[in-house]
Amino acid sequence: MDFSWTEEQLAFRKAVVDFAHKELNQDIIEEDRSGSFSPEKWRKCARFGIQGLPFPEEYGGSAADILTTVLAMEGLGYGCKDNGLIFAMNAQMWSVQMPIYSFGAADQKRKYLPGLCRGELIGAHGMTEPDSGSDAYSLRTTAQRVDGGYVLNGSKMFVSNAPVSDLAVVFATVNPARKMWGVTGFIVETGTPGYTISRKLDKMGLRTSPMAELVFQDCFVPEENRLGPEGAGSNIFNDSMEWERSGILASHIGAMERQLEASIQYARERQQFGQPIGKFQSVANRIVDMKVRLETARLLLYKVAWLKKMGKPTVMEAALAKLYLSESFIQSSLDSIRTFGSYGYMTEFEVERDLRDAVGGALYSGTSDIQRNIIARLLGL
Amino acid sequence: MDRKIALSDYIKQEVMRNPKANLDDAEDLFNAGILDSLAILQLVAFIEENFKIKIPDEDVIFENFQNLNALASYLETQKAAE
Ligand SMILES: Cc1cc2nc3c(=O)[nH]c(=O)nc-3n(C[C@H](O)[C@H](O)[C@H](O)COP(=O)(O)OP(=O)(O)OC[C@H]3O[C@@H](n4cnc5c(N)ncnc54)[C@H](O)[C@@H]3O)c2cc1C
Repeated sequence: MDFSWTEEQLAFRKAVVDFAHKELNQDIIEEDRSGSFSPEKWRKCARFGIQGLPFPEEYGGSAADILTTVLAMEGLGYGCKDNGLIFAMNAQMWSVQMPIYSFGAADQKRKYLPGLCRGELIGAHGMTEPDSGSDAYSLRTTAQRVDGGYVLNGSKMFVSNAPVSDLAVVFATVNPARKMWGVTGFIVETGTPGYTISRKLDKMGLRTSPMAELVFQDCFVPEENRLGPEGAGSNIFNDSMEWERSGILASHIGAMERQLEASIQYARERQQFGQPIGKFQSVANRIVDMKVRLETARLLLYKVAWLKKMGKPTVMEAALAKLYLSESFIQSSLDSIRTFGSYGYMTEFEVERDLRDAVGGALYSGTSDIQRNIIARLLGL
Repeated sequence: MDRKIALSDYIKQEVMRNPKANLDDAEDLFNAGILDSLAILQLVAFIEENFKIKIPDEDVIFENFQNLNALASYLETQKAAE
């Protein structure tokens, strides 16, 4: 067992952190307040190579292996305080680029991947519907086969990146009677007749990552825009969710490390009753718990990434990591606020925003309840 | 051991949780409510681990997993392709 990173990997992580410190931390309070997405930061990240990290060079990526990618996303979470921006990039990388790369036809890869990697195109992923969330395969959006393609009818809810997207990977059923086996993936370009991106949704956290609803009304999608075979949608979706969990969670590790360091520094500087608050055992213990949580979470994440690199199944490990890391990030954010006292509750200190951003992690890519269900099943319960 | 028997035993034991259950080789595993999305993932992991056959993601479709007969014939084609 080898827990070390190579010199190059560590140098790359440092480069990501430096880039994030320099380029990504401006105006976040205002962008969070107004719920604004920054196309400029998005393009800067693409120029640096974030969106293209794990994808081959022929598609505009940098062909990093999964472990290096995870380490880089961790560095991004540490250096960049804009969790919304990071979330938006993860949403595109793992649930738009990755399915196109893994399941797409050669033409689809050539057409979409270079633009997505270079930041010239933005992608969204539509699975959830107003009446189907955790029970994703009970979706109602239909894809009726017609000459030369399909006609889509239905709607998609809570779609990240939708308001700024150029294309969306969406799932619809070609045969509702077949349940999950009817689910099929499609690539729908913005501007396609019958496809509308409706009102922008206002939300608690991750406010710099825009979200909207997608509506399909007799929307014709040509056959060449079907992603993978008919009926393979559920598998495409599962695959994306596994990748997404690893990528988003990596950034949470970085964010928790940032919170830990800020809490330690504050606990050493802030004086009450004539001594630094870190000298009070209740405060110190809380920070110790943050450290324990960070390190255990890190091990779970690295294990998933390593298993993926080895091409081994990660169902159990990905569920454990998703559950533990997302809940840890919420707890770590809450602990930071407690350590900072009321200053931590004030927007200008940029501590409270992490908590609002963290809560979404217990919902997207499968709620904590659903992760527990998966683990329980695999434990034979 | 015959692959079909191994698959049947695995499904009865780990998915249906009833080693004594009756499971016909032609029984529709989906309409009978036996395999759901998580059970498929378990089954794929079992096959890859025990039969050393890699199942490409795009092959995880209804036609290949509908019943034990379909699954066994699909696995034959995969083994032959190796
Ligand atoms: C920030 C954010 C970004 C998102 N981005 C996207 C996106 O880009 N694309 C997309 O398609 N979707 C996206 N979603 C939607 C997200 O995937 C769903 O909200 C999620 O799957 C839960 O579905 P739901 O909200 O309908 O809750 P429901 O499924 O209605 O669940 C409600 C409650 O019941 C519990 N519950 C449900 N079923 C079970 C069960 N079997 N056992 C135990 N408890 C259960 C849940 O855990 C939850 O507590 C996003 C959500 C958020 C918060």
